[in-house]
Amino acid sequence: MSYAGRILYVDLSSGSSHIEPLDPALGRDFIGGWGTNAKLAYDLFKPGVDALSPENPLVFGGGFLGGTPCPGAGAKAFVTTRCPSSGVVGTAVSGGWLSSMLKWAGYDHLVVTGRANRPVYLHVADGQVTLRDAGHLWGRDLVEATDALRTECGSRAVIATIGQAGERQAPIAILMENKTGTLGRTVGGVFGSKNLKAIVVEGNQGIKIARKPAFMKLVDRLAKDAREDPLRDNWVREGLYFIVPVWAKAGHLIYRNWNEVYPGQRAVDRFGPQEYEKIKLSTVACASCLTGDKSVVEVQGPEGPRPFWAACPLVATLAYGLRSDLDNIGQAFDCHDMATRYGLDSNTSSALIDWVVDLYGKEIIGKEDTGGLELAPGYETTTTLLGQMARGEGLGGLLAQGWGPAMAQLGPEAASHAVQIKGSDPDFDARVTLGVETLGSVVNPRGAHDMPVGGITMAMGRKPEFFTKVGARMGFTPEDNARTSLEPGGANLGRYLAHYEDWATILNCFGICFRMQVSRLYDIDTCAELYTAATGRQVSGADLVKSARRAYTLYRAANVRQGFSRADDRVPAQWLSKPLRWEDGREMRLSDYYKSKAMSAEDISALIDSYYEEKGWDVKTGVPSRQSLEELGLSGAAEDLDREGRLPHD
Amino acid sequence: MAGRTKGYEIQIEQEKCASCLVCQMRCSLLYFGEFNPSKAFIEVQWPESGVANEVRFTEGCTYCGACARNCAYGALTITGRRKVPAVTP
Repeated sequence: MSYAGRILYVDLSSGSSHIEPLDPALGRDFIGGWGTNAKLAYDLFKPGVDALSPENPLVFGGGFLGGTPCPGAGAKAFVTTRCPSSGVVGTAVSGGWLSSMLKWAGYDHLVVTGRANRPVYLHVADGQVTLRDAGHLWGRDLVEATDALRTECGSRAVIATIGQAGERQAPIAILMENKTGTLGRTVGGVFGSKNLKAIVVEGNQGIKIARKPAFMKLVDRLAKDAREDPLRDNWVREGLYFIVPVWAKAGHLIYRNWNEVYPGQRAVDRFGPQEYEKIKLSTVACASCLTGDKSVVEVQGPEGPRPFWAACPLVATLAYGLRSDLDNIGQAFDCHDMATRYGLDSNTSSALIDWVVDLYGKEIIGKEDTGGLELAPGYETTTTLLGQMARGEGLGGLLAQGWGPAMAQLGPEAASHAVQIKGSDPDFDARVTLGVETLGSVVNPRGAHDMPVGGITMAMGRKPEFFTKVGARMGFTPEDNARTSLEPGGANLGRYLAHYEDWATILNCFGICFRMQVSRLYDIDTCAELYTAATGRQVSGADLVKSARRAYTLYRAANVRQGFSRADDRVPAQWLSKPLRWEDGREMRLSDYYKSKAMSAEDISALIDSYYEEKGWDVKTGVPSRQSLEELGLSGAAEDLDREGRLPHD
Repeated sequence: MAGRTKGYEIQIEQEKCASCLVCQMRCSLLYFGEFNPSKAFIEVQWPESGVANEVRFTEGCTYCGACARNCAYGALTITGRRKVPAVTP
């Protein structure tokens, strides 16, 4: 119960599909959603498979609580695939409705393999699975394609489409569900390689739970907490924009290719909540979410105003507003809309543009590299390069291939100015705050953008007791808490992160949003009670922590099998070697969370050592040890790694 | 003609609907014992054009108000008791 109990397999090459029952052991051992995706992916991914080949699967999953009104838990959908250009096996996460609709259609997971011989879209309506011609959609942007499919497939369907960038198999292309839920960075190009324009899902089967009164009692309590949160109205009215003044003061708003803090007053004047409210038309919430902060905004374009569905409205500012130093929030949303329509990842496309503009300003690249373009921060350069990215032309076409190919083409000096980890750009800078988010972005198998968020170390100066208290809520045992205490000096951050990732994984398995206003409603005991009530199978918090650790370890092992190791868990050189400068000349250098001690490369290395130790992974290679795998019941993975010569031996 | 009351008057403000679908999940649980929006007595449809969702009650709705009580966005509001004309034989 709460599981739909089925997995749908679709082979695009043959056009066939079949359904397999969900092995109950998968739910027991990997919870669901992200966790079960990790298991399915581990079993399906053969080492070395080309990301753009028919053999690279797309593994979709809905969170364990998808399809239920548990606040903020019906939203998250997952797609695991091998990423073009970086080669990681990564799970992209969206907030939206696909997770719930898959469940209502009767599926916990959907696995798509093969390659269609012509452009198609996959239509799933309960048991009816069809591949439909998408010739009329190919070449159309993501919004146009969604609107056309809305007319074709009806008003209840969830529609996930790619834009032109995905069709061109660009590694930085996205898949977007219902115009408002981003599956970023990896998925769009893989769709394109399969001639798959879209997936449309309509479900009428519903989801049942085992113990309704107990489940709904928990849901009612959580809903009450969500609706009575004193900050709720701010979240809903201003989206994440209420945080702009706070982050401006803290230094989280960065531009000029990770060299400078954006001037605080300018950030508030141009991109503050008051500016956002002027263009916001309505609030959008993911399935089950009572504190929705997505929105529809009005964008001014040359042809007049148009609505834009913003999956994460703040991205318009963080990506284009700041990095391209745009004049106002309208321009920021205009660029965000343009990138989204093309099906380009806004975070990565803006980071790449910021990088080459910086390189051009430093004369590391010249017009011979830019195809004659004069690069300067601003609207013109940004929109020109976005257009090139979508069309696969010129410098923009190179950037659309992702960090790896772009760095290789532009040379080692250019590469030394690229702030990326495993071919993915971070959202936050460790020089502002070294915490679970930023250290997590270093060790995450998928790369820098993927990290355990929730904001606990984004806010500065929290006392060690705060982290101990939060640790207990997240399922840390008293011994864990004693061992991982975040004292000034920061020596335990790696150990704390190892456990924090377990909690983040539980949230991912359940489908619970990472946004602070949602994630802080939950604690480990509530999750155990929800699981027990939904399934009728008694579990403890410790059981969930172990399942989460199992899933995350297998995710790591899947990437070890693709050749990744400790050598890839690298801190960007800029964070270690350069200060981040404020407008008034102050500097921020890499230091511990409490700013009590400067952190050298050796100090960071020691943090990563302790992170691996806490996980039971080999410190030298970052590979899970046989013992850690066997303790989690993953002896098969241990055998795989051993056979492939990747298992560490003492 | 004297009437009787049955259920509630529920005001729909479509432009406030945020698409969380909680109304449908609550309704279908109450009347069918499962979370199944397709069975709910309230429809939420994503628009073919424009911005606002289309929200309406369907045949069989008892106007019990479960949807409105669980709407966090003000799209559904109970405004009073619903007056139903007396049935004449």
